[in-house]
Amino acid sequence: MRFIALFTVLLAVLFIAELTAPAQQYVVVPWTQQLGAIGGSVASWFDRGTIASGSTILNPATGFGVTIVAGCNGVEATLILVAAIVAFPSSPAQKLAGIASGIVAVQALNLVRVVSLYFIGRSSPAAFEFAHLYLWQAMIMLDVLIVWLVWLRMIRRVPVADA
Amino acid sequence: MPERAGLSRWLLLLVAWLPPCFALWYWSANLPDSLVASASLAMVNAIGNAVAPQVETGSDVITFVTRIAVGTGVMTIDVQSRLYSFGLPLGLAVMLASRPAGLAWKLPVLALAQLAVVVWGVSFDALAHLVRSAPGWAAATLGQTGTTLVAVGYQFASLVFPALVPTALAVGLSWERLREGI
Repeated sequence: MRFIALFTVLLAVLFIAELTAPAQQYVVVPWTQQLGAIGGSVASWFDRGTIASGSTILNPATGFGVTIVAGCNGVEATLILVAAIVAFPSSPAQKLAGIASGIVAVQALNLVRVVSLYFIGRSSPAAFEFAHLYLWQAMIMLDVLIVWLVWLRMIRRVPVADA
Repeated sequence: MPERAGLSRWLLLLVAWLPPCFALWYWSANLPDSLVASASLAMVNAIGNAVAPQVETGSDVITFVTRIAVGTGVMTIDVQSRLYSFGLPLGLAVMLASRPAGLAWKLPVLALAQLAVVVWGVSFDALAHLVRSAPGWAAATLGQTGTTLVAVGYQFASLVFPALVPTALAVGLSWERLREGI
């Protein structure tokens, strides 16, 4: 019960903090634009006509592009993972290692998500809608869950009565 | 998952369960729309001071008919309930891969929790739409604090709850089995 209470409080605090103007200005918006730039670079490996403009990945020749907005940047998934790791009984070093590797894992999959959505959207708007609104959202949460479970396994400490 | 190597096996099972769970969800996601619409209408009216006298359900949208005048008619708001239920197949797959004791009562609990998430999502989607489209009504009815709370409620509804609640609940309800695999 302690974990559930701490996780809930931490998540609420982190999420509300993310919504504040300073967090948006100095963290969320710059990261979203950076994600667009990285996504554009990765997409250009497969399509040389692809460029990034701000948080938009597009092909100027075809006019098709995707814009990364709030909710698409993996920040919320990262916050959920951070809250779950911090709330679980473990040492500070274990938490830091989990958070660092977890951020990489979540953001790496989110990059795959962004790039894949760009290419899916070019070929099928219907498939894009399904993948964007439903499938990838669930996959990112699955990624969070897997990272957390693997981290739990690595720290080798699973409370019997308190989880 | 009695053995420590069970986590890998559990993941494989989960991945195997995901496609049928997604298919089942996609086919059935709008079935409880009438119930969701009624509950959401009550929530919207409780927060929005009886702003919507009527709600209708279509093929895949819930339409709120409001009292706010627009031209010669009134403002209507369309909300897709499916936007808030996509986490159910993941939660379902987690539970089916884990096969916890009491699955027969745990699955309905998961479905009920998901229903609550959808009601929250549809309600705050409608309220957020009202705040954006009718700022005068929002200022007079909700005030600054109420408007901010609606915005926060909508952010939770759209970015956190739909995926987190069913997944976390499924993990919690399957924890005894999951622990064995970790």
